[in-house]
Amino acid sequence: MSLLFLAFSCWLTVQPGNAATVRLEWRIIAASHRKGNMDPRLRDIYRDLGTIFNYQSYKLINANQIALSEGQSASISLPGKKQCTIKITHVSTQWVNVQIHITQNGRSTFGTTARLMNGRTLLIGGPSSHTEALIFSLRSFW
Amino acid sequence: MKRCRKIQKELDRYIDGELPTENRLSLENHLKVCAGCRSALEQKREERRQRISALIPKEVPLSTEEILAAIEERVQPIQSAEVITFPTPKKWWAKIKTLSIRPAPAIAFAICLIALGLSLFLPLGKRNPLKEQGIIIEQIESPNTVMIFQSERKDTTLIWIVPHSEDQEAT
Amino acid sequence: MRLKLEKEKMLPTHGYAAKRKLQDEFQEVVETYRERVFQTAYGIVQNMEDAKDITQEVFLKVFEKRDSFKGEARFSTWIYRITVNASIDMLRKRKGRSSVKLEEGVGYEHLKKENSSISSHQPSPFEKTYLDEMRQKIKEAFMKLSPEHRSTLVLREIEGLSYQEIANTMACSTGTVMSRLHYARKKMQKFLAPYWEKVS
Repeated sequence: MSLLFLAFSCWLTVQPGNAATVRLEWRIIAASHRKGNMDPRLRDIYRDLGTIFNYQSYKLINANQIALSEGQSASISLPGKKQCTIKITHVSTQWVNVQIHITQNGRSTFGTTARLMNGRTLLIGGPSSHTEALIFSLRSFW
Repeated sequence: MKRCRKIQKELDRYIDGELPTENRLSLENHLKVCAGCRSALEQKREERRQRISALIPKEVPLSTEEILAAIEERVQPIQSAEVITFPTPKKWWAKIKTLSIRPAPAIAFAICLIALGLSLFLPLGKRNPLKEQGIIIEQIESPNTVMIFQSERKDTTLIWIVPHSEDQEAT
Repeated sequence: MRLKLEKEKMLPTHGYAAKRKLQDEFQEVVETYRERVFQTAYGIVQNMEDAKDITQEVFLKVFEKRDSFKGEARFSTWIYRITVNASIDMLRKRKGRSSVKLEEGVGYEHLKKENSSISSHQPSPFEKTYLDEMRQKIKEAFMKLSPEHRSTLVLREIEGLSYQEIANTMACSTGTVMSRLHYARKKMQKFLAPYWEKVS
């Protein structure tokens, strides 16, 4: 009986669960109509946004990688006294649910809930002045 | 005197309208004959008037319209979204077809390569519909207009926030 | 080389928030409770700007959570509860910042009907000075109370809620309500006694 119980306990503990931690790569990018150098780390941005917008240059302001589990959140400072909060609300083997909120002085200015597949990139951006735009890039890996 | 002390302890509840009926009637009967307790009751009422007068606002500075406008600003939903697909530039291997190669052996070799590749990398059986989707945007909350772009390969999705006025920052 | 875009117009799907008819659904709620919410908030925090912020926040919360209100309590109890909680949160957040500022123009004409015996007597300049000073002292005494004692006093004396309604709003027993009221009134009376004596 005790052997059975032990076997059952072992089976319970080794049950495959959901992907525990998600790695998120985030970048803050400034786009400008003014001519400038193209940052080689932003080749993908240039490739994707070059067909939509007329921005002449893209500059990487900040970037990092973070690891979050389900229920965890991280806060990232954006230029212009803004904060971007990312929260993982659900992790499964095929996708991760992400809540993103952008706030300024404590007030929410933008929010979205998205489902990201592995390796996909979500960009959130908009003009920050007549000639420039700010873009937040998020890619998930697990 | 003892009775007066007991009565005066109940005056607050009496003014609050929270005395049980029996106690209230008993108190009211006592007040008819006791000037001291009547005076105490009046003082408590006066204190309460003073308190209310000091603590309530002189006006309500928020109109219904202002409150509704503030809520609308915070929870303005997206009514419709224009999803624009941007084409992905061709990779270098697309240029191979322009080279001149003898057809028969090339085709046979190509078929073998494809078969090998399929068996190694593609799961046999049902295709996973989720893999064909890119990012799914489930909800957006924004006081500004939003446009959504997705690459042809669905590996990149862009949410572009358009400010109301030229002077306003979107992000 | 810029490639040609192909636009697809998409109608809202389940992924996008549907348009809410704020004006129709919610206007009546705001109209009915606007004054009560503001008065309660101001009563507790004693600051115009904070009370305005709380009022906005309360109605936003009520709007966002309206589907989750299941009717276990009265709707008014629910709104009062949100208001009191928001006000207490505000007090805790801004501890030490709030100052006792005499709001001008409050007079007998603003007294609640149930507690007033409004007379047509117009106060003399001397009486007006006394009244202003008394109000200032009352506010000072009130500020010394804890958020819970303040809230209980405001709900009873300004909003006119019964002990049971206050208990439901503050999630406590009627015994606790009575005890808090007794303590708050006693404490204020003790603080104000010298000023009452001075006047008489």
